[in-house]
Amino acid sequence: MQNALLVGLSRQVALRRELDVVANNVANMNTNGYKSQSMLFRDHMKNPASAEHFKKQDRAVHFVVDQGTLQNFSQGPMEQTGGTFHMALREDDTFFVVQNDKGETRYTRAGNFERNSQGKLVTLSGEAVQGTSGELVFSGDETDVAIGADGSVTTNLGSKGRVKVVRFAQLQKLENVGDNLFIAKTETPADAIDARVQQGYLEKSNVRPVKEMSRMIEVNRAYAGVVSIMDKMNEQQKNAIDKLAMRA
Amino acid sequence: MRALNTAATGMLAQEMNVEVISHNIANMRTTGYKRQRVQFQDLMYENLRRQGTATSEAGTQVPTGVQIGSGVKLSATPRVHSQGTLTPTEKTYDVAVRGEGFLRVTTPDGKTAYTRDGSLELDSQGRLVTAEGYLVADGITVPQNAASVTISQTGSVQATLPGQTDTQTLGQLQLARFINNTGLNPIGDNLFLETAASGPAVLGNPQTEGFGNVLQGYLEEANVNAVTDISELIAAQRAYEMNARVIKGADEMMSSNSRM
Repeated sequence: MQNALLVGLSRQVALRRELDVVANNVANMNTNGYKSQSMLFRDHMKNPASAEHFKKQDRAVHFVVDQGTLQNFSQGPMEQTGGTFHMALREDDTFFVVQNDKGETRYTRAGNFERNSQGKLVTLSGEAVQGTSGELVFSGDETDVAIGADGSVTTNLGSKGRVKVVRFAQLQKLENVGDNLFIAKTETPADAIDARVQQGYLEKSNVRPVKEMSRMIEVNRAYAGVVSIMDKMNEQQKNAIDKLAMRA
Repeated sequence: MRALNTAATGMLAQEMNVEVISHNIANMRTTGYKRQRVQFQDLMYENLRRQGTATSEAGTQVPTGVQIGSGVKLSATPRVHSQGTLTPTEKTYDVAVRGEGFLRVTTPDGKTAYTRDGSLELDSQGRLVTAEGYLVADGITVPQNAASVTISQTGSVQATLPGQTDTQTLGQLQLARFINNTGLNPIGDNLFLETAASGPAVLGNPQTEGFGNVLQGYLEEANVNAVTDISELIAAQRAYEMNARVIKGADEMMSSNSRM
């Protein structure tokens, strides 16, 4: 009897997590380069060691456990901004490489870069954008910056090399660290020589608002459903106690 | 419940988005105004189950972890320094910069400010000033008896003086350029100040390498595109509503629990 309540509780916890994920997606609806997430659940069987002590019907209890947050790395819509240093990537599995002040490498899909006071190309949170031969630094006299489809950067003073773009074989192993950045702990990227870069465009968030709203309604109803089951179980228990007590 | 807070960060971010858009629209007809864009970044993530952790002694690993994000933040409102449309005004002291470069203005407290607004006038002493009456830093004075003042594309200010056949050069307008335009600090009145982020001003004559040219009798309009800004406003409004819906959803879930 108690099992039903506990199974219901596990579902409630999982549904709350799912709503958290939906809320984060909706909050980041207008975040450049944001990739939407979804929750992955699996069932968790009750500990087999204690299973011997129960009757057969009681043994097949499955709890819900959140297995992972699946990231949807599909291409977000492209917005034309005309910004000289704005870049968008055309392939789903390619990333810009940036380095923070501690020398740690991060990856991003948000190409809203700017030059800092030293002329270095940086993200909005100050990480240096990497070229194929180190950081991309522009001197004060350099104008007419053009970024080719292959990521090659040229100015009025000649070629500056290429913007470094990498590709991951297993995208799900990338971890979010906020600030539109990803970190790769267990995965090593490969240089994406054939990656296509589009200057003057930004990749918007790939969150589909309609999908998120319907997912939220679904979560809400499922939650209410679990609550009503738990309510009924409670009622049943109460009835049982009342009736058995009268007999005695 | 985290979803409540997450959605609240979303509402807050969209509110600021609307503020910036309304500022752009309000300045649609401001000479030399450069529109601002809003940039967001996602907030930190909590790792409830980290990918790559071992699930057995045989070396099997968690392929995808559980990462729950905590919302969104406004990261920057960089200005778009694209060229605005030039409109002819036929006024002698109206100048527009076509291409890169800012006019230099001395503020009353002695600082040098930079502007794209070239609606200049003369003060009582014949000095070239902005619409606010601030001196143009190049220190150009037009004599009272000067006729037909011309400002060439290279920024040289010339006039014909009575009794003389040749035109006299009264001064030279210089432009300032920054390695990082978006790092300039706007102080209102169409003026910007240099900051540590913008880098020091690089001075040069108009029409030299890296600088635009100066057009007399023209003004640069704001580079606000009404269609873009209105459609962004609609998007921001909808995003705000959806975040509000998430808050309502989270609230419903909590209240169904408390009704139990």
